[in-house]
Amino acid sequence: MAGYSWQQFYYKSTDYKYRLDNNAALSEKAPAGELFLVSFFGRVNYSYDDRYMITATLRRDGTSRFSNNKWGLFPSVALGWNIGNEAFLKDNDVLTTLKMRASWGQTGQQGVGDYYGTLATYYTNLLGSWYQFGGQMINPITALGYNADLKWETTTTWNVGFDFGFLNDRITAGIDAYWRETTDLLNHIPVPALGNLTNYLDSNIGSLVNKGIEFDINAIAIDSKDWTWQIGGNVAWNNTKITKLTASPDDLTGIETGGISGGVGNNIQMHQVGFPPNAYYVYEQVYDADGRPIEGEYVDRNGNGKIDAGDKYFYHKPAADVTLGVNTTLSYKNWTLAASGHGSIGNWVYNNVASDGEMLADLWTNNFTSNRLQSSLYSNFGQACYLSDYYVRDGSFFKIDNITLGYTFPNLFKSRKLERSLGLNIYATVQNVATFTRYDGLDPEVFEGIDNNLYPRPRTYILGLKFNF
Amino acid sequence: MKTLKYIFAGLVLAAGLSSCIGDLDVTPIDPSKNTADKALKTADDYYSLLAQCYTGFAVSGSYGPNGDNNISGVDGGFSQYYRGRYHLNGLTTDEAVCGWNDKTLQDLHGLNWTNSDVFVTAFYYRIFYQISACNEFIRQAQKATVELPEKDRWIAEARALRALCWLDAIDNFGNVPFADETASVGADAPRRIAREELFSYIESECRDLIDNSALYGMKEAPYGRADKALPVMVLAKLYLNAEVYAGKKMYQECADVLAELSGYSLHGNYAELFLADNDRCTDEIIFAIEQDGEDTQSYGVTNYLIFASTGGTMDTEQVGISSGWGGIRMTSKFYNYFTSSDRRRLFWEEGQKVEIDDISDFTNGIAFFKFKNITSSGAPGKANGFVDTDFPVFRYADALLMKAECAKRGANVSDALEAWNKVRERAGVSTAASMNDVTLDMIIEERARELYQEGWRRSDLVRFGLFTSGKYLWDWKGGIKGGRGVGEHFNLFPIPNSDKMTNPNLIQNPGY
Repeated sequence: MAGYSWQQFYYKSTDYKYRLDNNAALSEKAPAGELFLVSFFGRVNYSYDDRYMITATLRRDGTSRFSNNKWGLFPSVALGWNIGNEAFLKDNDVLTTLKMRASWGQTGQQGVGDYYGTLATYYTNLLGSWYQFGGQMINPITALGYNADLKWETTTTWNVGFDFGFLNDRITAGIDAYWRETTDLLNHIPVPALGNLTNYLDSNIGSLVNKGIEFDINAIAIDSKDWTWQIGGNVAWNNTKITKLTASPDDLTGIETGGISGGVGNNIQMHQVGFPPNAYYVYEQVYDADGRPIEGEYVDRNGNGKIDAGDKYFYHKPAADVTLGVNTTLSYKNWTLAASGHGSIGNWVYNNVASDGEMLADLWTNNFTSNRLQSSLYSNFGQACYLSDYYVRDGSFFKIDNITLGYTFPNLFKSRKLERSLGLNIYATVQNVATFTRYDGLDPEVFEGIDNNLYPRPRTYILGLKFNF
Repeated sequence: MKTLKYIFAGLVLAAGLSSCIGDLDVTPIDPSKNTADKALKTADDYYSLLAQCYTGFAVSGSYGPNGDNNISGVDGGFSQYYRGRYHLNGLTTDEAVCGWNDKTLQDLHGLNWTNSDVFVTAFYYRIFYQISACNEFIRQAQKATVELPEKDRWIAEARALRALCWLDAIDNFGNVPFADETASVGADAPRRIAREELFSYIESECRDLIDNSALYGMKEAPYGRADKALPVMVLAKLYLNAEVYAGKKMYQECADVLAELSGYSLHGNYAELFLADNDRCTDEIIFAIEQDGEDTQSYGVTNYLIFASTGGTMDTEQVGISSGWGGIRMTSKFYNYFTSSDRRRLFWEEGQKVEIDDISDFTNGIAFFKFKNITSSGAPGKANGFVDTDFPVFRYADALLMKAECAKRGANVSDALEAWNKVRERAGVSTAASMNDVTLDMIIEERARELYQEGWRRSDLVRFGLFTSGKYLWDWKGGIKGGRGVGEHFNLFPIPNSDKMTNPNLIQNPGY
C-alpha cells in the first residue's frame, strides 16, 4: 500500500481600530500564517499461515516549518507471532490466545513554535512603535530572531508485547515494554545574548530516553442469563530522563523552562542531563518548629554562606511515574450500571495560584485592596516566594470519571407490518464524579505541571433518552 | 493506447505532487512580516531598518506599548531600555525608592539582588538586543544591492547608538559577551570580552566616529538623529569612569574630548527641559530618545518616570496624565540636598512626608515633579495615557559638571570654573569665585541636584566610591531604615544566570 497526504494549516486574525472623528488608524494588525505538511508513505504486510506476520512502513514527511531541513525519513518494522495458532497451543482450552509482538520504528515531530521560525524575517512596526526623524514619521522595520538550523525531532521506539486470551477470551490481557529515545528534541529556550535578534528561540535542544511497561486486563467476571459483569483495568509505569543537551557540552548546565505567572520572567523548571524533563528547580524551604514555612529562608545547599541561584535543586517533576485506569459494567436484565476512573501517581504540581496569591504585601498597596488566598494565613508570606519548593506539591490522584445507570426498553413499540420496532434507552450519567488527592489546588491534573491558568473541569449530570429505530 | 493513458495519468500525478512539494517553500503571509527580498528592497526600507536602532530605545516591541516585545520571557514594560536603565541606576541609589511589590523590585533599592534577578536580567538582554539590532542594520546596509544615498552616515549612526549601549554594558555589567556586525545571526555563542578590552574597543569606536565618520556634524542632524556629539559624550563618560572600568585615570582625556563639543549652551529655564515640548530645547539637549502620545508609546522611558512618580494627592492634570502608578519618591537624604531657592527643586510636597518609614506607602518620601506631560505653555500633551516628553540622554549641563569634576581630579581645564558657575547660576544658587572653593563632595551633590531621574546616579556614586560603602548612607540602603554598607561586588551587576548557563564563554562577576 502506498499513500500521500497534503495538509495546510492556516490562521489569520485581524485587529483593526480607527478613530471615529477623522478615521485615522489606531491599530492595523493582521497576523497570519500558514504551514504545509506533505507526506509520502508506503506499507508492506506479509502474513504466513496466520502465524507469522511482518509489517514494514516507510514515511517521508515534509514540513514548511523547517526551511533548511524540510524532509524527514521515518521507517518502522513490526513482527507478529501468533503463538496460539501453533500446533502445541491450538487446542488448549485455557490459554486460547497468545500473540507476541515486537517492533522498531521512528516517528518525527515538528509541531513546535512559529511557522516561520527558521527564516530571517523583518517586521514592519505597527502603530505606537513608530519614530520621528526631524518631525518626519518613519515606520521602522524590526529584524526578528530565527533559528535556520531547526530540524525534525525524531523518536525511535523499541517495543515488545504479548497478548493473552484465557477461557475462550473471557479474560484478555496485554503487556508491553518499550524503550523510546527522542533526539533533536524541540523546545523554546533561552539563546545566548548577542548571538541572535532575540533571547528565546525554538531549538533542537538534545535527547531524552523514555522507558516503560504497560499492562492491561479485561475480564468478564459473570456471564449468566440475567447478569453480566465486565471489569477492565490498565496500569503503566513510565520513566523519562534527559540524556543529552546540545547546548551543554559538559552536561553540567541545564536549560531553564516553565515560565510562571506573577514573578515576571521567572522559570520554575529546568531541563538537565540525568533528570526528567521539566523537573522543578527550586530553593529548599526552611520550616519553623510548627512546620510552617519561614518567609525567604532557604537551605544554603552549596554552603557558600548566602542564598543564590547555586542553592537551587531538582525537586520532583510533572510527569507521573504510574498511570492507571479502571472501568466496569454491570448488567442485570435490562439494567446497566457502568463506571470508569483513572489515576496518576508521582506527578507533582507547582501551585502557581498559591505562590502568586498568598503575598500579603499586596493586600493593601497605594490605596487599593486585593483579595488574598485563605492559605496565605498559613504560609504568612509578606512577599511572594515564587521559587520555593513549598509550592511544589504532590499531585497524585484518583478520579472517578463517569458513572452511568441505564435501563433499556428493547421493544417499546413494534410494528409487524414494517418489521420494525422502537427501542428506548433511558440513562442517567454523572461525569467527573469525584477526585481523591492530597493536592490542595483546584485540580491536580495539570498539563506540564504549572497550575496557574486551569479552566475548571465541570461536573456534569446528564439524563438521557436514546431511541433505537 | 492504454499505456499512453497510464503515462498521462503518471505525468498528471507527478505534476500534482511536485507542486505540492513546492508548497513547502513558504514565505510569510502576514502583511507586516517579510523576508529580506521583500522587506529590504528600497533605500527607504533600509532607512526604516535604521529607525529601529533608535526605536529600540523608545519602545518595547513592534506594536504599541507592550505588543510583540523584542525580548521574550519578560514583561514588555519591565524590559523597556530606559526603564530598565532606571531600575538599575536610579532605584538602587539615594535618589529614589519605588513602592511596588513587583517581583524582586525591592531588592534593587536594598542593594541585595541576585544573579537571577528579573530586572537585572531584563536590562541585560535589552542592551544586547539593541546592540544586535544595530549589528544587523550594519550587516544588511553593507551588503545592500540597492544604492543607499547616505549609506556611510547611516552605518555610522548605528555604530554610535551601539557605542551608547556598550557604555551601559561596561558600566553595569563589566565583563560581557561581545559580537559586532561581522558575526552572523545564530552563530556560535559570542565570546567574552573583559572590561579593559571592552574599554579599548569603545574608545577606538568613538574616536573613529568623531574623527573619520560620515556622522552629521554637531547640531546639524535632524531632531532625534545622532550627530558627532553622541560619540563625544559616550567617550567622555568612558574617560570619566576610566578608573572604575579600566583602572586608569583619564580625566585629562575626558576634559579634552568634552572640549570638542561645540554649539551647545544651557537652556534658560531648567524645568522646560523635561516637558512635553522639550524637543525644542536643542540648545542644551545633546541627544534624546523620543516619546509620542500617539505614535511612540511605551511603559518605559519618560512614560515610566512620569506615571510611576505620580501618586498620592498629586494633581494629575498638572502632570498631564490620566492617573499615576504611585511608585517612585526620593529619600530624605536626597531631599535635603536642595535649598528652597534652587530652581531645580521640582518636587510635589503636599500630602507627602520627608521620612520613608514604609517604602510601599507612596506618601512616605517627597515626590518628584520634574518630568511632565504638559508643554512649556501649560497645555497638556497629545494624549493623557502616553506622554510626549522626550528623554534627554545627554545634556550640556552634564558635560559642564564633568568638566568641573575633571578639573578637581587633576586635569587642566581652562573653563572649569565657568562651567561650574553656569550650572549654578541657572539654578539660582550661589556661584564660586575660584575652583579652590569647589570640592569633590560639592560636585557629587551638584550632580544629584542637576541630573536626578536621568539615570546617572549609580554610575556617579560608584565613581566616588559611595555606592556600596558604609560611609555614605540613605534610607533603606542595604534593606534597613537607617541604611548600611553592602558588599563591594554590588558595584557591578551579575551576568544573569540564564545567559551564564546558555553561553559557556561567560565568566560570572566576582561575588555572585
